[in-house]
Amino acid sequence: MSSTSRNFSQNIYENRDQQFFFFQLIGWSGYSLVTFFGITFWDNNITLSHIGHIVLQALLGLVASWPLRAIYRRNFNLRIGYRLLLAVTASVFFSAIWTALRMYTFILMSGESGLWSEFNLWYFGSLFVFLSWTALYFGIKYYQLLGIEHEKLLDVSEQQNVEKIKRLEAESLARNAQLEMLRYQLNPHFLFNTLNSINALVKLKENNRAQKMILLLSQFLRHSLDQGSIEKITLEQELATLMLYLDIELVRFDGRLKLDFDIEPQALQAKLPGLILQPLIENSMDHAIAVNEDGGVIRLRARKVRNELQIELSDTGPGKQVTEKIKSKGVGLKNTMERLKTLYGSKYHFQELKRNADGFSVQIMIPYETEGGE
Amino acid sequence: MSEQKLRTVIADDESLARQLLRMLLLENPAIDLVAECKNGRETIEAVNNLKPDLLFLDIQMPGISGFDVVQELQSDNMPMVIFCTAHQRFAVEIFDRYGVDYLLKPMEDTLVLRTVQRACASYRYSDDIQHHTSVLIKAVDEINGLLKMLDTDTVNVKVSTGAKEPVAKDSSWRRFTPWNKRVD
Repeated sequence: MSSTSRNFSQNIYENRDQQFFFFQLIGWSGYSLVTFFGITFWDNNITLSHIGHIVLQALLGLVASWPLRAIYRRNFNLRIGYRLLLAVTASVFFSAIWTALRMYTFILMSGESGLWSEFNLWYFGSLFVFLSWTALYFGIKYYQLLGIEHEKLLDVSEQQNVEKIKRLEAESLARNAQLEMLRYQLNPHFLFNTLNSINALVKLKENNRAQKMILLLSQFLRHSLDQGSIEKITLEQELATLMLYLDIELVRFDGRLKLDFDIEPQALQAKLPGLILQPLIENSMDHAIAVNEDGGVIRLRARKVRNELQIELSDTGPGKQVTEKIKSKGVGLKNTMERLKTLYGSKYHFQELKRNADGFSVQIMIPYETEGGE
Repeated sequence: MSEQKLRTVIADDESLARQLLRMLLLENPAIDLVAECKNGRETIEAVNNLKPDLLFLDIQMPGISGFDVVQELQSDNMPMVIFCTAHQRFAVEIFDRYGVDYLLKPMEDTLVLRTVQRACASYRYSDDIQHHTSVLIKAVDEINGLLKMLDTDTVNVKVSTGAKEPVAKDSSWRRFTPWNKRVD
């Protein structure tokens, strides 16, 4: 039921000719009814010829007003003043024709003669009917135009929305790709040296130590391979992964590596991008511990300062022997910095505090976030 | 005829790596292990004092690297050198090109044995040793030249632009520095 009515109205809307015919029928039927109740019924002369003439004059009106549509349509793009003039002229002309037709038929049907002297009265009514017709025509026309404009506007804004969503998707894809590129990459030098250490332990028949090393290495590998570039983990988890790596390095460097960690309990629950500290620690291993005959200390401090997590990492440097060869720490640092920038925008601080023979130190500040409330 | 053993020095900063090599070499009757060193400075000292025939030389060592050790040594003191490395791919390429011996970590028993056999074979002919030394010095010169170029590059970049490093320089550094490279 409702679907058929929707089909009907849809049809009406789509087919202009049908729509026009429909409105014509409705309009002239309405006119007939008003005439019947307003004049014939009122004057109490309900005769067949009167009623017949009402229907006939409505039909004549329907025919006489038909050319108006063609005229208005053809001149719809004229300036408003000309169009107004045209509308009035056309109404005057065609209503005169209609008046003549309906008077002529009335005289024929009723047999009343000498009626032509009342032409002006009949014409006056007709003119108003045709002016109303014209007003309704333009009213409906403008209403429809408004609807089409509105729809176009909706279309445009929907298209804009779709484009915006596409752009956001592309941006997030690009960002993920960048993060993927920056994510921690296993240091092959570390891997092969560790395997050699395990090799040695097996040769030395130190089975327990060999097994422990294998387990540490596999856990570390699993973390570094599984850790996505975007997920955040707690500092506690990050430290656990760091310690897998550092426990291996403690065996390899056998007394030359010392650790000094000072982590505030509140900081342990803070979230940070996984493996963000790993490249920094490896930098210190490569450029301080490994190159210094006496080894050295890696210090890590973490605390909550107001709404931020503050992490400070430092080492004791390569020592005087290799002062002239303080090599670029570029890659690891840059990597960490780029990742922070991509993840936090402007809401992070990364500051190098010191870089010389006595050591290197860096400070990172990121928003303090925890599992519950971010 | 092979009565005379090769007087051998091991140089590696990791104690487990030294222990492994020691065990492998002690199994070999052709080797007479005379010293173990844990950094470049000790290695130069040991070579100058003990004048060994064969040196197992780790590349990444604190203070003075394996490459620097070779450059520091006077060429008449130069033993036959077998480089030990975990992942210096660019160095390995140069070694291959010059025919310099090296061992990759983790070390394989049979490969260690083979390099020792080759060293013994060379040791019988002084011509071979001379060739070995000259090739070694050329290879290390090339490697050190490459490293220095990269180093000065990075230093220059730092001076000229402050903290910011241009991408091109940085990526070239990354391309040539094997310990930052991913295993393919």
